[in-house]
Amino acid sequence: MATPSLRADASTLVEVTDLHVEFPTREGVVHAVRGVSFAIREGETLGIVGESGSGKSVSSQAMLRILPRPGRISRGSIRWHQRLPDGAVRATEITELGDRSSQMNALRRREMSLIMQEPMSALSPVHTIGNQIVERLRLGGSMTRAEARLKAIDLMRSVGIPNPEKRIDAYTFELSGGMRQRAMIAMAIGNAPRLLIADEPTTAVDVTIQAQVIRLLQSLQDSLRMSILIITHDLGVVATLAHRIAVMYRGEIVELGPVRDILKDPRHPYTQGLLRSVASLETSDEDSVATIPGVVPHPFEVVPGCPFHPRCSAFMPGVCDRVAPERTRLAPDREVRCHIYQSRA
Amino acid sequence: MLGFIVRRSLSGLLTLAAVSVVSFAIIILPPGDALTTYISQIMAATGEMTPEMQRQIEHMQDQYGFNDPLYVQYFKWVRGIVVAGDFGWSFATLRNVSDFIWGLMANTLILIFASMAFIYLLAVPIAFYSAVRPYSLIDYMATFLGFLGLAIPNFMLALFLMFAAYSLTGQVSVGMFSAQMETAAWSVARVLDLLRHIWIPVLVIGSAGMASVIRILRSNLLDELNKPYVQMARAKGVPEWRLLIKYPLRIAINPLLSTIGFLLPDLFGATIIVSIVLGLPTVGPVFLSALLNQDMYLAGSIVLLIAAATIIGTLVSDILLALADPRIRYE
Repeated sequence: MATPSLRADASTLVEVTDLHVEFPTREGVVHAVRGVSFAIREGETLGIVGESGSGKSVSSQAMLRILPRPGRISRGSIRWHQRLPDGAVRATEITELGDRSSQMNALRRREMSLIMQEPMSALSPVHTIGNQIVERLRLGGSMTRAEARLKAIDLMRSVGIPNPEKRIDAYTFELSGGMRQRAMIAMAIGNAPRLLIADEPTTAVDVTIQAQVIRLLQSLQDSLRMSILIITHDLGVVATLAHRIAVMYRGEIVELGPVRDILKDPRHPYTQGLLRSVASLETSDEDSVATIPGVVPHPFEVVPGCPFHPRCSAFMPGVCDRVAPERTRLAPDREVRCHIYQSRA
Repeated sequence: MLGFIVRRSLSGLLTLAAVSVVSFAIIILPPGDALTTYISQIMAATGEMTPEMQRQIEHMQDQYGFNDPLYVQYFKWVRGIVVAGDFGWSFATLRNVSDFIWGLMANTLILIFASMAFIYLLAVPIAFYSAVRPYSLIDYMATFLGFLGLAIPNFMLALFLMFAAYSLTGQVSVGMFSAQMETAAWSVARVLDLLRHIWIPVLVIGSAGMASVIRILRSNLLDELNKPYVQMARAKGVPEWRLLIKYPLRIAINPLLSTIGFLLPDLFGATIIVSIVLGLPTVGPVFLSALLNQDMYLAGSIVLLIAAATIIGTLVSDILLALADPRIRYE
């Protein structure tokens, strides 16, 4: 596992504190994210792992302020640290910006960018790849159309698209799945963003392409020195790519820490269950793949106490179903949200 | 792209050929031939047949092949149209159909295209606003007015507008032109005169067709607005209005382009009633009287011309769609 080491003095790029996102619907309010706190340092890769509906994508959409309707940030703070040309750092509170404000657009154009799960649907079907990359480049800086086109060809070459001079005028449906994903990555890194949010970048491509995409992200991080927030349900992906991981369940981070520590020694019963449920070559046929019993409760359902208690193997009656566990710091860089560890704190 | 246009044009020509057979079938549908009816009308009116008339009748018999088998009659009719632009003899008006059909067709097409322009120019922004601000006051108002336009019969709205225009201006606004402009050559003054008259029929026909266009575009747009590529464009920092027009509107409008073709016959149907009520010199009232009088060459010619216009409209909308949507171009 070649996880690159991170400079210890790396400064914080973005700090998310007690983030709450809710979707008021006619049937009731869905609390998709309930008090999530994490920080991403410069040059760091943070992996957010969780089942579908755990709020991992919604958290990243909140950072970009592109929550689908009727989602809204109901509480919390997202503090962005922008490094100015003179070396000074300017902090911007993203939750206070309008989601269509020019300040927000400025952050989106130069500071952070997004790659999505399905490039086929994340790119417009009626515009060429080049049109969409050039659009991003011209939004991020003062470039003429011709300059942006040359830059786009360079970018496409740098993400490993063969024959970019021709492919730049191709439409999404004329490219293979892997090429589409690379085109989207080329668009995302266009203005050398400081944070790349990769929302399930390997889910929709087949296994050989998955490995290529991960290697590409790794080499881009080395050359561009950007931070990556990778959202996935694939523990293998975070194990290769991330420095730290945050495990999410029902809108909460249940465990957060360096990737090696968590994979070696998971503390939260949910993380332990997740790791057990990964199929490996050592798994024998008889005990097949372990699963976590039960299902994720319906989003409208209010679960008192710890959200995981109905499925937990270490359930303590009278505690877990009554009181919501607090965040407990196990080590300087490691925390868990579970009653088992709370007494020790 | 060129191959696409050639293929579509060829299939359009085939359709046109099939329609010409149907049009001819309409011509020969009434019992007895038109010439016999004509002769008996003359006999009933004058009681005798002059030698000059006799010659004319023989000439027509030869020209249209009334004594020949049906397929020969058909080919003589088609050859007349293709070679000499001769659509046959209108026995009710005692004129060649081609002498007066083109002016009527031009007026009809002007009315149809003006209505179409009115529909799209108004419906697209309304639908766009309704989709971007769904369930807003303006959205509900647009829906309400759209359905009102759909529900009110055209003749009633036409009568009402005529009455309203008369009450307000004291002038009866009927027809497409003022009396002195009726037969004048095309000029700026004539176009202005046309615009002064045409707004009532355009409003009537347009209000009926607008609701469906608004509904189609609004629901297409609502679908597109939630697509990942829209979210992606937002994440890129594209300003919101530019984003909405460049991505979802551009894509939602494509299905609308394909409706241009079949909006044409609908609008033609609407022009008939409106033209009768408002006294407009279009094909519609002439078509109706031709059918009532069994003036079959005239009726058949109108069917053929309207079908041709629809086929050309469909062809144009296919080409527009292919230009707008690369996915269709490459199929």
